[in-house]
Amino acid sequence: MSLLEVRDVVVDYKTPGRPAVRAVAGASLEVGAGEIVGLVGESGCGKSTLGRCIVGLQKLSSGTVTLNGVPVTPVGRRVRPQADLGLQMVFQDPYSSLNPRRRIWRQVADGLINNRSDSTTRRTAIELLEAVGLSAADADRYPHEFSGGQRQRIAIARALAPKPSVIVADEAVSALDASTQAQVANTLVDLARDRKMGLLFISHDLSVIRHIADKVAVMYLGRIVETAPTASLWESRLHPYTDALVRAIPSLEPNAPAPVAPSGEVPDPAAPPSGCRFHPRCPVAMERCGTDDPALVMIDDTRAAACWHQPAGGPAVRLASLELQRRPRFDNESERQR
Amino acid sequence: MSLLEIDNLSIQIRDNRVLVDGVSLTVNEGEIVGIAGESGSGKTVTAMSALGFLPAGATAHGEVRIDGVDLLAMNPKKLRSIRGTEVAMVFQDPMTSLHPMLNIGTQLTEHIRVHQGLGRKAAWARAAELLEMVRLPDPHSALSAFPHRFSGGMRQRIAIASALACDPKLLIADEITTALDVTVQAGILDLLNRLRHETGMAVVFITHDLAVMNVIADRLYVMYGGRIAESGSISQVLNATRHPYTRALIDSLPEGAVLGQALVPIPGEAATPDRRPRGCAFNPRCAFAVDSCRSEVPELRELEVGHSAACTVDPFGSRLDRAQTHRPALSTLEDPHVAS
Amino acid sequence: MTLSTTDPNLAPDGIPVRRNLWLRTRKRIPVAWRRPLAAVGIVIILAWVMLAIFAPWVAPFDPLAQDFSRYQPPSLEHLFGTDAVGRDLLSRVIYGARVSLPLAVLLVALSVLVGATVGALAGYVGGVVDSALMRVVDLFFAFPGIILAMAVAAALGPSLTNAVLAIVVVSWPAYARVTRSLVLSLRESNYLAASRLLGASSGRALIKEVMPNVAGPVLVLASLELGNAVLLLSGLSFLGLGAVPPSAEWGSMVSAGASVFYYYWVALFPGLAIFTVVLGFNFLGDAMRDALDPRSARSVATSEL
Repeated sequence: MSLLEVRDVVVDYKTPGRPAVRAVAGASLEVGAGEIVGLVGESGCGKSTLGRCIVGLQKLSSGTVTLNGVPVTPVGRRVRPQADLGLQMVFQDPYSSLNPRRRIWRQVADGLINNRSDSTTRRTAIELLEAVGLSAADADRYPHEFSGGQRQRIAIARALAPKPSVIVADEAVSALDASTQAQVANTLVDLARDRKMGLLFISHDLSVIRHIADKVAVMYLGRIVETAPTASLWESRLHPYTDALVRAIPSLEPNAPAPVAPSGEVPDPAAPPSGCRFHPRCPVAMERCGTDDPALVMIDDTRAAACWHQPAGGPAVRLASLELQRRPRFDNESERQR
Repeated sequence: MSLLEIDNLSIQIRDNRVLVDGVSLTVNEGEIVGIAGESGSGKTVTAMSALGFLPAGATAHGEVRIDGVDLLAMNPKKLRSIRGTEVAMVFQDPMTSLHPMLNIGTQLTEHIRVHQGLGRKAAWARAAELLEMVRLPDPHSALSAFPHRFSGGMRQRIAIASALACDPKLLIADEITTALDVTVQAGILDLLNRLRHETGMAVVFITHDLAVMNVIADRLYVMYGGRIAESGSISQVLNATRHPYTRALIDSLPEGAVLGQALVPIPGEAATPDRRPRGCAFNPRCAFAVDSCRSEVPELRELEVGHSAACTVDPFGSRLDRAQTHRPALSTLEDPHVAS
Repeated sequence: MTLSTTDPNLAPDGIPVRRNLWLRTRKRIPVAWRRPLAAVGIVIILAWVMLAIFAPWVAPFDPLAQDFSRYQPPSLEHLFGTDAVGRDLLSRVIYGARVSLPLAVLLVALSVLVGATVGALAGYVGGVVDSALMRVVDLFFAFPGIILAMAVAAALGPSLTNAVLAIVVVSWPAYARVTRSLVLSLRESNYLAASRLLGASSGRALIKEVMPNVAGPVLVLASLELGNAVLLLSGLSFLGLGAVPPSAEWGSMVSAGASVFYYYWVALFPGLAIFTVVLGFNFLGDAMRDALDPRSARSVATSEL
């Protein structure tokens, strides 16, 4: 049994006077100790909602989230149960995740279980700050004196205070500069490996995930459409959306072909397409895809996909071998002239 | 004569903070020129000067010439007639670039009517034409819709349409895809490339993402600490890199790093106008820095035709062995970008 | 690898943190002086506070002593002249500061206390509690302030204490509304969520995370309201609902002088006193707002270019 298990989570947003919007439509994943799982998807796919559900900041409509076998309690009026303190989060925006009016060592110390004398607490807080690459001299300062990357590291130190078993990083590096992204991502990875913590790294950037994650889960319009070990994902994709995502990434290789945009736009989550949610934009959609919604099934020991082309239990079908029907394209693929 | 010539531009604001320091660059017709850099490098201020915009309270030296005429010396009335007509700009945030209370048609036609003096019907038709040019689905009904109905990618297309309204010779695109999803970005890059070929418009494309530069730009200027660190064609700057900053930047990107190894960040913090080291702005973070780097500001020297770098040490230069500067390839397994 | 921001290689100061903090605070003061109005405000209020504290030593005569001829115009002996019963006006005006200033502060403090508590509860707890409390606030807002104050003061009987109470009754709803909207926006902030994730109780999070961020804007509002408080207090006294003669209070002094306009000095000087104090508090409030905004001291143009 994995450290963190998420099963069939569904989240509906109800606004009065409108039909409910299903932000997450049945998502499942697992994170083990010392494992780094990347959850990737584009805007509106529900990955942040799922992340918040996992830590308890968002109520689920159905499904379960368990940490060490114990269901996680949503954060509400009552104090968060001791058992749940092992599940912490690092947020996206470094400028709003720290209290501007409190010194950073005090914020880091918030999560220390034994908040005894001030000096012991302060010393432990400073140790945590040093673990993320800051120094004791920084302890008494306020958040606005730090850069975005440093603030994220302070937020990580704060999340480390209760000695968590799993950290959910919700787009933790997305708001940072390119080189700072690398710094902060490395910090998270090193800490996860050293402390045998599970790390669920949520991001829209497949390139970063590719570098740090052991396993990747791809999300589209509220569903997880593919999971695979990172290396196999790069070798070949099983789901057409994952393939489209990878093809859209610009490359640094010399004379690289232009990135390719999938046809159409992401549909409104309030009115998802019938059948497979990706079918209107899918280059290899069949008739069945318009009526039946495929479930996420294991294709082999390590890979799963939610696509009618991929039979449960295998063998995996190579997308490249399917006849690519020319569908009316939004943008014509253009040959770049150099 | 080039379309845009920035000639030894320096911009300072109060307290002697230097935003741009002796920057020169050129853009020719039909070219896509990239300006790459992190925040604080001065790339946006440099690009804004091409529209005659300077930060509040700033003093500028040097010249910014469009078709040979210096914008910085121009009177405001003439400047206004150039902005939007000869030079246009699209900004980063699609969510705030359009007026939320006016429909798309009104916003587009206002611009057209001011500069081209068309009547209402003619302007509306031209607006629909522009929306078609940027491949917005169902342009005619889009005209009467309001911005909130559109996604980020669509709004950027509308912003591009608005910029194109008066057939500008030069388009400044400031981080226009940074806030967009990668699939949406691919569509916008394709659009920009197509427009360049269809209209012959030149583009100054600003971004910190070198992979995007690689696929969209013809030539590239890399800026750091208000100065140009390296410039040249895309293949020169990215494949035959000569400046340590460019090299370090490439190595820190996931696309540029070696799979299986940790990402290699650039140590330290990026130089900003508040904190700019003496001598070469990059020296505190540079693996090749020597004593002179801390006191002398390196000149931008031409290393080969069209390729310049501002580094006195030039650590990658004397080596004939291309392997030293060649970037490691991505996974040797099935290349996702090669059609099979 | 420590990546602290104090890098000796940097051209600007590489001074250690604590001294740097002091230098930064010192840098803020010139900012205040750059806005002359703020400086003027501070000077005015400080002057009045000094006068109030040292009144027994500064005032030439006893404010209650009726020893002099009535309605004397301003002269070298009586700089502000004398009033209807022969009291020295200058002394009365100086002593008046002892009434108006502390009461104004007390008044605002009480209003903030009541209003902020109600507003914070409403914003944080939400739901039925929020609706109920806000309906009460709306009820109070329905009455024009001065009328309500008059009604309460009249009901309680004329005295300064009752006037203060009456004004608190009228002033607290504004703070409730401001606090509530501040708390509502802060409720969604990530640092509050993080605090709950780390095990803080709902109440503790409210006090430790939310209230310090509410304090700033509320303090600014309070300092701006100080001037208004002086005005209301004087107003009620003018109407005979506050200070009772013979106490030296500016509002009642203006009232006494209003009916004898020929003897202009009787109403003029207390009126000027009210005017300068209110003006001073207003400028002070602006200064507070600028000082509490961490962004005002830095140049905007250097950010993210």
